[in-house]
Amino acid sequence: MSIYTYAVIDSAQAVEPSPGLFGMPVRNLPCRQLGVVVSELPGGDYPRMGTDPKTLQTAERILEHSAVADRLMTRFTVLPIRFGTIFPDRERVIANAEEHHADFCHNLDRLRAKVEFGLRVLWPGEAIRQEVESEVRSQKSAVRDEDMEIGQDGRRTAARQFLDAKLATYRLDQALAARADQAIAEIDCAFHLVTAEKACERLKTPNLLLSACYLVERTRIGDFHQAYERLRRGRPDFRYLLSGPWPPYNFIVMPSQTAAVRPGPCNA
Amino acid sequence: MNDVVARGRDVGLLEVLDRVLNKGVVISGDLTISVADVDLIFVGLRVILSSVETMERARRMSVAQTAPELA
Repeated sequence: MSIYTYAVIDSAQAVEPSPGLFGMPVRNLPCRQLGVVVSELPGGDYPRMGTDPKTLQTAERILEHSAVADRLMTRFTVLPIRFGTIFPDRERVIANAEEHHADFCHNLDRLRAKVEFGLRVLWPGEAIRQEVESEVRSQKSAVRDEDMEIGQDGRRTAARQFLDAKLATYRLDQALAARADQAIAEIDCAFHLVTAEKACERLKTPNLLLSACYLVERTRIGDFHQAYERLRRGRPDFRYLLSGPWPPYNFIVMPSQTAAVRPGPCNA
Repeated sequence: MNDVVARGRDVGLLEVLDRVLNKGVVISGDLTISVADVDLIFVGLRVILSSVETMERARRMSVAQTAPELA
């Protein structure tokens, strides 16, 4: 019987009975002082999953997976395991947990009593781009005429036009990035004192100014919400999407994960 | 701009997908996962079903290794 895994928790005790994927009961497999929360996958044995694999990655299954992690979060510190991690048997689950035991302990200690909030901030990207564009256009060209090839008729050559266009695009991108950084600095300032860690991305799309995740101590959730309300009042020209609390999906650092997925400062 | 705020957990499936499929613990193992009737065998690699795109890429790689003529 294949074993589906949901999360690593900071307890080796049994968890309350609850349904997992396909309604199968969830249980905790102890590994020293930790536990791996799992359920059996119905209908077949390793190596070939008995369930119809086409049905595994559906919204229903994904929500079932998420619901298990959410329920665990109310009682334990939780390291949610990525959706779709399946082992052939319990022994392999335990062996894997033993292999990663030190990493799990390190993450559980760091994330103990903390939850994650997600924040997406939208700004009027097109309007700001036009505004910045007019500012940039008014700036004097940094490309000196004496450095450029001028045709005999005094007109700009194709090379000059090409470089001018490149320079204009570069300046616009730089100015937009600076404008975004300024706005993000305001947001950072709002949350700086109430968050333990953050992971964020700048301008994933022209309208999505900030896509951020914040790690917040449970005892500071109220402070975080107050900071959010202050931010909304201070910048009513932006739109906000706040979600959470979540298990700390975005703040787990495993040696096998690349730096790109580790929490860090905002980057373009 | 309108001030539209979604709070709590009622933010739809996308927020869930973003986390459940793309984040969380990625653990190693030598597992076999069957996707769309193709057994994908990863020995000692990170095993994830992160997205349809990822699965498709993995499937193509698996086919390329085991049956290049079908790739």
